Amino acid sequence: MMSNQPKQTSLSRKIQIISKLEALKELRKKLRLLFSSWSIDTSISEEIILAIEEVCSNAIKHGHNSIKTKKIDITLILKDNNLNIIVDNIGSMPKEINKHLNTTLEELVEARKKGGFGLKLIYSIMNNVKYITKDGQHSCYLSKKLR
Amino acid sequence: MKIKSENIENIGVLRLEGELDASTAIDVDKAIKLHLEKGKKHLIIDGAKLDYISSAGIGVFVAYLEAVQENNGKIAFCALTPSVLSVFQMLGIDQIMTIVDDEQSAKTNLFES
Repeated sequence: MMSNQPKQTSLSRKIQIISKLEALKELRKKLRLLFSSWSIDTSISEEIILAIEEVCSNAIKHGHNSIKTKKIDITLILKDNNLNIIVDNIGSMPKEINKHLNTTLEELVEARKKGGFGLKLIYSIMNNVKYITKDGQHSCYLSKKLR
Repeated sequence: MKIKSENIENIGVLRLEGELDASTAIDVDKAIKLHLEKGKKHLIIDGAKLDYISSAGIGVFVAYLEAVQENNGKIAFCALTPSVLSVFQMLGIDQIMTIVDDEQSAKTNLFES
């Protein structure tokens, strides 16, 4: 039976990075190429790249304590203008997410801390953010409606 | 990324080129620390060639803000690219730090303070 529904196309890609901060530059390069090939507008794609990098950066620094033998897997799926991203093997769950999100800029300035902005950026940029533990593996799910 | 450091009277100038992320933030941290140790009151961060910034980069500037202000100084950013400015705005950094169009405006702003 023929359907009148428009065909739904789905694009996907997997990227793996080594758990070291120097790998973030290569990650950005791969994501820029991918998003360009998927015709995602640069103004949106640069923000999404930042969100993905923040998840990976937290995983490298806090989840894996910069142990370079660990690897982080990123799966990207584009379907019906929804971009879903799964970052697997993040090492550990972020602690006190709500506390981080509710800390004011003034409090961060006063504390003279360099950290505390990553989660704020991830939650600002993406439409949905979920940290999940399954079978002992910690992952982060991100999604963004593109149009 | 490349960091060029200059001194203009009591102002330490950092010209940043490339991408400021968690792996390069430590170099900017060292450059700022050096300016402050030399007794520079103000900092100008020239972002004309800064293409990208992550939270680690933002964190470096925020961490030094109070120390600079305690010395009656300011941190002024000039010529930020739209993508970098967008990250500043997302976090509200544009509300607590001086952001101007060009270096001359930054100098004027700092000398008047």
